[in-house]
Amino acid sequence: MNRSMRLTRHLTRAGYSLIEVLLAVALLGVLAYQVFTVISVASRSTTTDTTGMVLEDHALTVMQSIANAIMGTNRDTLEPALGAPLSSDDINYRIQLGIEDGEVIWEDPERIALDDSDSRVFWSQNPDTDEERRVFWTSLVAPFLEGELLNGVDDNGNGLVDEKGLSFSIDRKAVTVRLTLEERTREGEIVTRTLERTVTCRNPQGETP
Amino acid sequence: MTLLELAFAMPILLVAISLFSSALVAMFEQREISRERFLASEAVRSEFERMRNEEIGDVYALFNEDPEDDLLGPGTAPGSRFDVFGLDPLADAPDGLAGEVLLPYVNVAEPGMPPVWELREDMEWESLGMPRDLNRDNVVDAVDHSEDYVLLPVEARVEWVGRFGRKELRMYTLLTGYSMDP
Repeated sequence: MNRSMRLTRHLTRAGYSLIEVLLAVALLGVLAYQVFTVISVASRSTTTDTTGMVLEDHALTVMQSIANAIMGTNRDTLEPALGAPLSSDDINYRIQLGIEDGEVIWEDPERIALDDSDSRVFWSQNPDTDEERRVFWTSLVAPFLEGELLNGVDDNGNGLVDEKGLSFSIDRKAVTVRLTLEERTREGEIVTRTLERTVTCRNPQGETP
Repeated sequence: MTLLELAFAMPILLVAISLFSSALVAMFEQREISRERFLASEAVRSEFERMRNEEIGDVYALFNEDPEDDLLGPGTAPGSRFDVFGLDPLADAPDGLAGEVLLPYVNVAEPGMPPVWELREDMEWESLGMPRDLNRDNVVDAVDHSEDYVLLPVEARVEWVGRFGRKELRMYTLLTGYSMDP
């Protein structure tokens, strides 16, 4: 008798009712949706941050290459020599290698510029000649500097008008280089990074070639 | 699973989750701090280049905090403070600018009198290598060399309010004139 009563009591306590199961599934569904939303937002944010980090490192590498080239130039060889509010998307220069027998020794003419597509920065030695040697440094340049529009107005307040994604402006011996890179993430979001650096020509004197 | 097993497992799981979360937060914090320091160092490098764009004899007058010696009239020079793109200055930063150029000059005026600034060789300033001969006469003296210096040690300091509190960056350089003449 006692054993049968215990067995009966055990059987009546086992299992869940349909309502309990439905409630639990509904609650789990709501929680799962919330968790999925948070993970999705975090994943998109991480992708944007990662793309931004990579773009920034890339922009820094390009900017460092440009700065190293301009530092060794003679100021009088810079062309075009445009000052604010004008700017140019290319710069021609010659690097002073040293002095031999009282004569200045010059490197071959060089150029840093945007190509015809306006999205690639290249360095060129002996430009516009049969011996031209060209190296592309990046293909992620934005059409215009961040915040700038093609409207004849200084939209981004940097003193320049309608400057492109790569721009050079010259003030005496100093060249200010501005570079905006942009890239589209997998989700279609455009990530932009902008760098600005002022570089002074270290060789201000000497006969021009 | 008994209640006792659960009581053991939950704290261990919580500790593991908190350690993992701390590592993630520290990683993002380090990335943000590195980015802020990069912005600060880029601004300082550009400021040093702007100083190199001037004749060495004009740098002191253009980049000190005294507006009276500005070359084109009071208040026309860049001054000792500069803006840093992307960083918020401290609440009490003069002119609301995060960057500052520091040169080895002192105020020698009597208390209560208008300031009189002198560029001195005898200043004690270890990070600038001072005391130092600034006019190449092989003597470190206690007179004003704002008109005849040929070497100028410079310290640039950026103080900002970052995402993780107040931060500071200091960089140093030594300016001198260029000349092709022997």
